[in-house]
Amino acid sequence: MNNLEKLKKAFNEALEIPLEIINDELSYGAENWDSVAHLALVASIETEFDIMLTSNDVIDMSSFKKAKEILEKYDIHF
Amino acid sequence: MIEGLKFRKAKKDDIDFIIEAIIESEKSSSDMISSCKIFNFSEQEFIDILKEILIQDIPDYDYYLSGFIIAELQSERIGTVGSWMEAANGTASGMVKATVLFQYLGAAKFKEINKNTKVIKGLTLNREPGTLQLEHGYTKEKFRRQGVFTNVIKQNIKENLLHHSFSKVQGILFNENYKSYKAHLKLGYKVVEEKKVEDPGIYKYFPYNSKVLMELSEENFHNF
Repeated sequence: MNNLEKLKKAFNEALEIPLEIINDELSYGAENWDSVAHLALVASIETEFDIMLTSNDVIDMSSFKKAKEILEKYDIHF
Repeated sequence: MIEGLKFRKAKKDDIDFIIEAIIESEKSSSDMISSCKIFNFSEQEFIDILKEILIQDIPDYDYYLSGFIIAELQSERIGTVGSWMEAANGTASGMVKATVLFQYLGAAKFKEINKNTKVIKGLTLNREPGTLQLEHGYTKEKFRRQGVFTNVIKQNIKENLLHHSFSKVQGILFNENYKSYKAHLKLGYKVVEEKKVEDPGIYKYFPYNSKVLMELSEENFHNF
């Protein structure tokens, strides 16, 4: 599984949304992505990529596109 | 209105009373504290977390200490309601709340949430950026039905109008919490969106299965 697929899996599991609708446009507030789901997403990404996100990462991760940009900082490339 | 009722902004000394308000607001006339069920906290753990968070006075979400207005009668705190401007700095209050909880508890606590979120997502309602949000309204039992709730809401709106520009006030509540729901209607709030979950699993996390986003327009609050 490549990094993009792993990230989509994390979103799919945390937000419980179909893989087909996960794209760069997906952002907080859409598809039931609320505060609780956001915490689930953070936990899911940390597990999937075996990293520890910072508070700044958590508040900045407002879209799928932003999630990819944040993960680049951890040498996770897409 | 009760004679001698005074209003002021909340201070750090008020934190215990505000926690009482947050917990009673979460219970919404039931015995269930939803946050404890969702995050698997005991009531005492929740109180301890709230104390740590409130003292930081972080703006832009519902645990913003300075957003609370306190109603006092002869120096006794008898009512309160919290407030914040939604997405004032471009970040939704839900994101701010998630980040604060993450900061205080770490991600490990949330690895279990995945199992819980499916059913509760059905009650998610989105707040509109640029609106004033009022939450955690509370009046001590023996002072209810005497206009304290109505007046503390009016005072909070007036206080916010001194510092912010907004044309709508919003709040999210369980419409089956009839006392609170009716009090909002009496003030002029209208229901703009409703979410209902039929899955009985919802009752593991919330006392009721439907929530409403209510809104008060400028024409209702400009003469408060």
